This record gives sequence, structure tokens and C-alpha cells, in this order.
Amino acid sequence: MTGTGYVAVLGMHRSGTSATAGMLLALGLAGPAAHDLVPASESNERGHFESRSLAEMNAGVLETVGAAGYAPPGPDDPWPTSPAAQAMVPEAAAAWDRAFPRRPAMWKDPRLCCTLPFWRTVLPPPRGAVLVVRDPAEVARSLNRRDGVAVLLALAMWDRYLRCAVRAVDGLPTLLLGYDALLADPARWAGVLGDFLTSLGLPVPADGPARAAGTLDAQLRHERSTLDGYEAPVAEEREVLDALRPLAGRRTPRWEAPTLPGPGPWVADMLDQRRELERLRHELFWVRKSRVYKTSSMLWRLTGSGRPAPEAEAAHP
Amino acid sequence: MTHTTTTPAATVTPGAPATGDRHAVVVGMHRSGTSAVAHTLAELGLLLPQTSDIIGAGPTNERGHWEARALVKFDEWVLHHLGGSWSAPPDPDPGWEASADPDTAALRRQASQLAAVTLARAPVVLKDPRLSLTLPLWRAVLDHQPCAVLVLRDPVDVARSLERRDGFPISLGLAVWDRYVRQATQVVAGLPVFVLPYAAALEEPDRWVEALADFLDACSIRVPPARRHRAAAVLSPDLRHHRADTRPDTSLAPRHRELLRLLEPLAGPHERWVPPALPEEPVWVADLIRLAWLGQCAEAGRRLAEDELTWIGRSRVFQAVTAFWRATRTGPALSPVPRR
Repeated sequence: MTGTGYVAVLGMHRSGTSATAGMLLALGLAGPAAHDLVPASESNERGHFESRSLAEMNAGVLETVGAAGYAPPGPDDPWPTSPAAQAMVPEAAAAWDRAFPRRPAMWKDPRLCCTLPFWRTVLPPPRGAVLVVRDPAEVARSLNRRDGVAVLLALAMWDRYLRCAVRAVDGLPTLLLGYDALLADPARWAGVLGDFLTSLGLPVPADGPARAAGTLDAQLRHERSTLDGYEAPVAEEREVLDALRPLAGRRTPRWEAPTLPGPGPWVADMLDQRRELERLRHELFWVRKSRVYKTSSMLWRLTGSGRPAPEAEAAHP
Repeated sequence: MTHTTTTPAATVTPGAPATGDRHAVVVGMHRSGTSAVAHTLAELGLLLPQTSDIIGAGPTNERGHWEARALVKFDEWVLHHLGGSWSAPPDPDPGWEASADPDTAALRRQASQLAAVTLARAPVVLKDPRLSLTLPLWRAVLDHQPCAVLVLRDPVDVARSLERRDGFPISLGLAVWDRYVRQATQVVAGLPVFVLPYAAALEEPDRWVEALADFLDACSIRVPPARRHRAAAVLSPDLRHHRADTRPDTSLAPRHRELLRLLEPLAGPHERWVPPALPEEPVWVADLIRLAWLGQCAEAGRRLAEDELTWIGRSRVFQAVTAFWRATRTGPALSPVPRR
């Protein structure tokens, strides 16, 4: 296949973005440079099909603007055009060129839900976008099992990633996929994906859809949608999912973000708390990493010239 | 004997004190009216802890906290020992206070020493919302089992108040409320307990203060009759700043309000409290509290590291060595410490 640009694959972590990426590769798109691939892992045995350097770049961009993958900024936050983010544009452009020597490329990274608006200031717009959605309870349980993320935080992340994603692809040719449906009928959805690429002017090999369908099997769906005790927040998030369902499978030449039911206040509460935690950990890391700290701690230990451990102060409410 | 003031902010009307052998503890969530109830009990003649450090009024509690700073600090220390803090309350195993581990044994000794000094004369009103979690330790060291007043307030009112005062996320305020209230219903098991719904008490202070005084009488704490009327004046509706109906609800609130609905019918005196059967704590409570606790640990670590740096920078050895390095240009480059 020849051509330029890339097709972006977006979706919350543990939503089937890797499975979708694998299908797009079978349909003829090029993946990241082999030396840059995130290797397969226990939690993703078939591979992530993700560029390690760009995943790090995405994490770095979020960190620069005081956010993190676990606590992404809201969809209305103007961070992509902030001076801090824009200062990273040349570095980001160079990293992208290194990561994708062959094009048209398939670029999959769940963080793109949050960072695609930034990349749209770095690169020409993607040829198209594939947005994968999965039941919030399944995602939350999977993330909880894999990374120990608190279930309520995982649900809040699901909400924020999805809201950011539906805004990030604004105006782009976009295909929305439901992970459940994808696994239930791989052949049909491989065809839909192939047709989508064709509509973008990208040639698809004749055996592409069959090979793409062969990359999936129902074993991929590890988590079933039960999440005891979290019925209230899960029900809220499923309302968001329900608002998106009618759009699944429909090719949209120019995506317009649908109106979604408003997020529960707990979403921002959880993410704000997590963001504050990231900020504090970041500061602590840099204090401990500073040469002043390292050198002086060494001197302190050697000479015993420090002071006794500070007394714990109980803060009064 | 005259019942005197401790600080200008914690003023009690002079007069004869109440008498009796046992203390009264006030338990309940922060921002639930426990200060006003402690003030009411003080007006009914109960003594304050014998210490000069009763926490006075502040912008967020204009009529005083009615807490002894030493006891509050100790209770906070106990919460740290249990793996939490006032704002990230732990969920200790039942019977933790009787543990033979050296740390818990040390806490029992310290509680005993504190009680010997500050609670020597009964009847004292002992108020600190942390008692909703730490009371088992105090019960283990007190000579006489206290009676208890359990104060209840709508969780959304409380969460709003915490949001305004401490910048708490509403969801965290609800989670902390839930844990405090659940724990409070457990720690007073077997005691004479008066369940006081704060909102109702502000609507009808005379009725509730009368009932409270009768309860104290039944607990052998004799309240001078002249004090009953004066005490009711403490509870005025202007104390209730944040009403539950002033904001749209969060979707998590109904589960927390279920708990309030189960407890409100128990309002009034109980000769011997049997903890009611309650539904399981909502699963997200632990999620929210754990995240808050991790944040507090990171904040403490950062403060400690910066504090260390300050002290190191002041040390003469460090100053001498860096001066030598600068003069001889033999030392390492010292990068600045990033600050907020």
C-alpha cells in the first residue's frame, strides 16, 4: 500500500483498541517501526501494536500540562494550544516521523482520546479515525485487575476518555465500533473496516477482510459485565454508551460530536483527586532526584549533621 | 462551684455544674453539628476536659469547636496508626484496640495518661468527631463507661460544608460521612446512647434539649434545672448553613441517604445501644477514601523531603562544604530544587 498520513485508533484503555489495530494492519495499513513496538504482554497476548516512543510522548505531553493518563484533562480544556504544549511540537513531529517510517500508517494509542487535539496541531489531520467503545463495567474491571486502578476511578477514566474522544475526532471521517459487536461477528466488522478504509481512498488487499477477521476470537473478551456494588455509577456510564450505540458501524464522512448525558459529579471528583496525587508524586520525585537533595542527604548521613525526624503534626480540620 | 470559661471563644454561662461519675462523648461526622451539641452539653453543666487548649472559634466554626487540642492530636495519631486520617478514615478490624502489638499497647498507655490528666473530674463532655473511630481505645482505658450522643446530619449538607471549608470533592465528603456514621454506630455498642438528628434539633431546640437533659439524668448525670432553658438557646437555626436542597444531587448520594433513613427512626434515647443491621458500605467509599489517603501520603512525603532540604541547607557542615566546593571549583553542579 502506498500513500500518506495515518488512521487514528482511539478508545479507552482495555476497550479493544489493540484488537482493532491488529485488524487494520491486516487490512493493509502500516504499523509503527518494529524496534519501537510495545511488546506483547500478559494482559495483551497478541500485542499492543503501539509505538512506545509516541506513547511516552503522549504521557509526556499530558505531564507537561499537569495531567496524566490516569487523570486526563476535560474535553473543554484548551491545553493543546497552551505555550507548554506548543513548545513540544517540533519534538513531537520528529518523534512521529521516526515512529512511522511506512505510511499510510495505523496509529493506535488509547491516550489519543485525550491527546489527538494536540497532534492535530502537530501533523496534518488524520485520514480518518476509528473509535472503539466497550461496556464501562468490563473496562473498569479489566483495568482494576491489570493495574489495580480503583473501580470508581476506572469508571471516571472511561467517562473522560470517551467524552474527549468524541470531541477529538470532530470533523474527521470516523467509524465507531462496539467491541462486543466486533467480537460477536468479526467477519462482518472486518468488512465494515475495509469499506471504511476504501472510503478514505486507501486500497485494501482482496484477502484483507478475511485476514482481519481471523485475527479475532471470542476468547479476547476476558471480562464479563458484572460489577457488584457499582450499579449506580455504571448505570450512569451506560447511558453515555447508549447514546453512542446508534452511531456504531455508521461511516461518518465528517464527524460531529453527539450530545451525551452530563457526567456525574463523582467523575471530576475522582479525576481531580488523582491529578492532585500525580502532581504531588511528581514534585516528590523531582525533589528527591535533585542533586542538592542527593548530595546534601549524603553529607547529612556521613556527618550526622541533620536534625531529628520532624514530629508528625496532626492537622486540625 | 462555678463552671468557668476556658477560652473567650468557648464561653459557658457561669453557674452550678452537672454532677455524676461518667463522661459524655459526642460522636458523629465532622460538620454534623457535634460542636453545637458539645456546647449544648457544656451549657447543661458538663465540664470541659481539664486542659488549657480548648480549640476556640474560627471562621468555619464561629462558636468554637469545644475540643481539647491534645485529645484531637492524639486521636489523629491513632487514626494514622490505623492507616488513615480524619479526612481519609480507616476501616479497622473490630477489636483493634485490644491488640497486643507494641504500638497499640503504647497508644493505650498514652490514652490512659491523657485521660488521667484531662478527664480526671467527671462529668466531662468529650467531643471530637474522630471519636467515631477511636472511641474503642478510650473505652478500654476509662474507669466508667461513658454515655454517648450520636449526632446525625444529612450527608449532602455535610459534603457541601466540607467542600466549602476544605475544598473536599463532594463524592469524597459523602464517602467520609458514610464511614464515620457506620463506625459511630458500632463504637457506642452497649452504651447508653442518645441519637440526635441535628436538623430536627435546630427546628425544635427546646424539645430536643429537654430530651437530652432527661437522657443525661437517666445516665446519672444530674443537670441543674436552671440550665435546661439556657442550653436550648445554643441550637439556633442560623447554625445550619448548608441545606441539602440547595444543590443538585450527585448520583452517589441516594445510597448514602439510605443509611441516614435507617438511622433517623432511632432518634432519641437508648438505654443500651444495639448497633442496627445496616447494608454493606457502598463499594466506592473505599475507592474514594484510598485515593484521598494516597494523596495525603504523597503530600506528607513531599513536605518531609522539602523540610529535610531546608534543614540540610541550614547545617553548618553543608554550608562549609559547599563554600569549599565553590572556592575550589571541585564540587558537583548543584541543580535547583523545583518548587511549586
